[in-house]
Amino acid sequence: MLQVLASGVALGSIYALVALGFSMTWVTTQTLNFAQGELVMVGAFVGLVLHVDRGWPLLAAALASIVIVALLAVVIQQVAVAPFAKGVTSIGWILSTVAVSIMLRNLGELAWGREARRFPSPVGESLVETVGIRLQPQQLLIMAALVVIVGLLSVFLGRSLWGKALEAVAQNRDAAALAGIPPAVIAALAYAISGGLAAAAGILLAPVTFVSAHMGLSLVIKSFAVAVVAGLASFRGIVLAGIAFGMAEALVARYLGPEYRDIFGLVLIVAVLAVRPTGIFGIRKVVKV
Amino acid sequence: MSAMARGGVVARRLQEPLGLVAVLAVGSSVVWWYGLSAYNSRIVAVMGLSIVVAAGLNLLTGVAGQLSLGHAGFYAVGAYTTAMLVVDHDWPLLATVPVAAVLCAALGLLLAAPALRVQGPYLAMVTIAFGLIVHDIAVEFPDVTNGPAGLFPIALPRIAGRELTLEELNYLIVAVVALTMYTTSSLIRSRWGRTLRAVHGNELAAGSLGIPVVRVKRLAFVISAVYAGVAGSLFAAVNGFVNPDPFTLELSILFLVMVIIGGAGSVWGPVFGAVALTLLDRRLSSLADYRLLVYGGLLLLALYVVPDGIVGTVRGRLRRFGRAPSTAVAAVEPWDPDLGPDAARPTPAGDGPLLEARHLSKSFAGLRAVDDVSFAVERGRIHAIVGPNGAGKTTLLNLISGVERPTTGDVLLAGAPLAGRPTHEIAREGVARTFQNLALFADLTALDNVLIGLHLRAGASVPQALARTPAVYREEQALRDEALALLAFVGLAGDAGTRAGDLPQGHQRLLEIARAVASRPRLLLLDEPAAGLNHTEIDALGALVSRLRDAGMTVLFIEHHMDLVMRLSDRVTVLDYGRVLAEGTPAEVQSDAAVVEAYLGTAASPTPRPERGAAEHQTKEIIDAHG
Repeated sequence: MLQVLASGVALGSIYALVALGFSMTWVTTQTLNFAQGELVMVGAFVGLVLHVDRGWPLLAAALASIVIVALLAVVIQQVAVAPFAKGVTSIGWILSTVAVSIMLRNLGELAWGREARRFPSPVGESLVETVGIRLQPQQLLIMAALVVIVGLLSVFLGRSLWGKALEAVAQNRDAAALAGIPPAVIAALAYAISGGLAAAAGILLAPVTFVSAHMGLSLVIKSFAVAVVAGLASFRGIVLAGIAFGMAEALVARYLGPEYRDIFGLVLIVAVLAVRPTGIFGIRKVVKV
Repeated sequence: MSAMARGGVVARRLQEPLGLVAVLAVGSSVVWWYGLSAYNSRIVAVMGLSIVVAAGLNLLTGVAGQLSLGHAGFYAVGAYTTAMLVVDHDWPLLATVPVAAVLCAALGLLLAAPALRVQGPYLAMVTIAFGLIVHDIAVEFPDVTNGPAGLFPIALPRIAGRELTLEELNYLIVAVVALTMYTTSSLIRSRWGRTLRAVHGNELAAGSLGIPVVRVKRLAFVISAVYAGVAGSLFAAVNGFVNPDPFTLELSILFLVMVIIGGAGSVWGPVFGAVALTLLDRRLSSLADYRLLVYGGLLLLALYVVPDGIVGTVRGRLRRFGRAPSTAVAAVEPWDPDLGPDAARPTPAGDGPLLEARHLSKSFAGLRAVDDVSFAVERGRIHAIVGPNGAGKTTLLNLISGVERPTTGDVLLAGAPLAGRPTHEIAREGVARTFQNLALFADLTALDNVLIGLHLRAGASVPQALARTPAVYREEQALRDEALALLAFVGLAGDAGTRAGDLPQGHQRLLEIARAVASRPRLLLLDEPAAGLNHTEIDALGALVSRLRDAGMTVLFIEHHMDLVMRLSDRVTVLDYGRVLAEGTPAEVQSDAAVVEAYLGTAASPTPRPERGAAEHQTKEIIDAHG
């Protein structure tokens, strides 16, 4: 039982990282990148190619991957999101990022093949035992990384000038623009951060699953479920919801059967949106007539 | 009636029957041409079924504006329903089609539940999740679906004891396509098609015109799901087996690309998109490695270059070259605002006020926007509400029209309670309104806006609209005449074919009034009708409102132009800080000490109250207007 929960926490941390990416772009630009899952995939593959195939040290490969995917996210924002973000409806940028997602999946297949690949864990495969739970070291690494990344992100948002600018835009876009914060730069920055988070999630996730061009789809849905349950604007809510979701999913897979693993998340998202669309930590938006 | 106008009438009457014949003729020729080749017959069949799915999806996404990235799910449910009944239970294939339709209708209803609460990216994710759930069940639960191996063999359907050939099945599919085009085209151009557009354009305005928004969205999901389910069911027959492979997110995206490339919202766009993409798909079968790249690229390109789709763009160009839509009716019967004995809702001659607010209050997060307001509006009178900005005037109107629920208190219309009821029901009781910030359907023509306003005066049911019965046709014709007459009544006869969003502000205000009046309400609520109008337009507005009152309509309006208020109103209620400050005839209100104090401040309160710049300006207007 505890063992199952612990492995759920590890996967849940990954969902939380991807969901934080959703939150970053949503609070600042009111747009989401439906290709976020493919960014995770690209991040994992870039890390795999640099670290395993080219022999780069892991940390260098990870940093390179994060930078590359962050840039890719900015390109997506410029090409597929910004031209459609001004419209009244969201259909434009939803469809354009969906288009980007299937193109990236196809490109991933072409570049790195159709076969799923293994990514050996940097911290070894031998199980560690603590307080009666046996864990893969990578699972521990994932949890530690979540703490570090969320810590860094909060420091950035709370202390640095650009971080504060992001917060300001999230709170009140118009007032921020009046204060001289350029919305275009903020949008690009938010997408870069969400891309970096996706790449980090990809590299952390790779050793516990396989790396394949198709890994993004189920991730993006589950992470969105997490973001929705938490209410897209709440960072702390997302981390909690991600971990809770990972644990619930692990329990479902263990006790109902592995065939229910994916369905659980899918049904959850439909149910949550049918019952409480603003999420558990969310606030209802008041529209003025 | 001019020859051109008559030509327009004939074209409107024959559009659906001609389409039916055209589809049958072209489709049968294609089937006949490819009849002997099994390979080509399958392509033709898949093309036909794609048209059915795309036309149905177009109703939901193109017309009603509800994005679905999960239609492969309905297609799969249709296919699996047929496969399971045929393979496991030996049902005759054609008998399974209605079962698939009913099942998909039920699922459409289920999926509509979250869609009623959420929009945009949320809805996109919900529909993606739905498609994935169906696919996941097909793969992961072999007890039911036989897992990845799928269900087979599915024999071709039998008619009169004889098994159809693939070619004959294709004739059947052509008939289904023809029926699909007939029904979707009829629906889009009917009263219900307009409600779908209205919900797409502005839910709040749609509700205020008596359109049950929730029901309409459900309707769109259900109808759209049924088309996909029927197509899926026939797909099982064409394919001979059903496994999970085809029913991916990519297929859902492909259906959507068909709709978008063809032209979302247009009748024939999905046909164009489905044919083009099915042919392209076959071309790409040798380049399977690049399929998603091509589809993604196409979708992106379409969004960039032809956001209205190919058909929509071509039609837009044609329109710009002067071939205006056939609204050119030579002589229009003048619209008679008289509510007369046969009008849907004559103002009851009974006594007592038409509208009564009793101790109405509304709080927003502790702020009392409306605070214990009681007042009455007498039948057949023009009643004004005035007061400084932030006095709670619009909130009061929102409480009456059901846009917001009162925290406490009652609203009575001819003695019947309104408070707490949904907007569209209140509209049905005979309360119509306009909006301070204008809530027109900006992308639709002025004529369509008024036609949507006539929703409550039309009676065609959804099945009747799908069949476009002669009665429906006659009703449409009458509605159209009435809408044109109404436009002439407010002075917009020349603007019938103009996009509402392209009209100048003054015309937009008048159009909104025409739309609100169309249902012949007992009570007309106007929220700052003169805002943004020039002096001539204000005079015309005043005359218009007087004529409506003379015809028996009761009018309650909010206005800042004091000269208009003083000239027009039978009675004035002054609000300040959410409370009734004074009430009476215009003259009484003007000389009321409390009112003067609220607007100007007195010696007793030498420091002017904050945010009263506008109010001071209005008071000057009072003084100007009355010497």
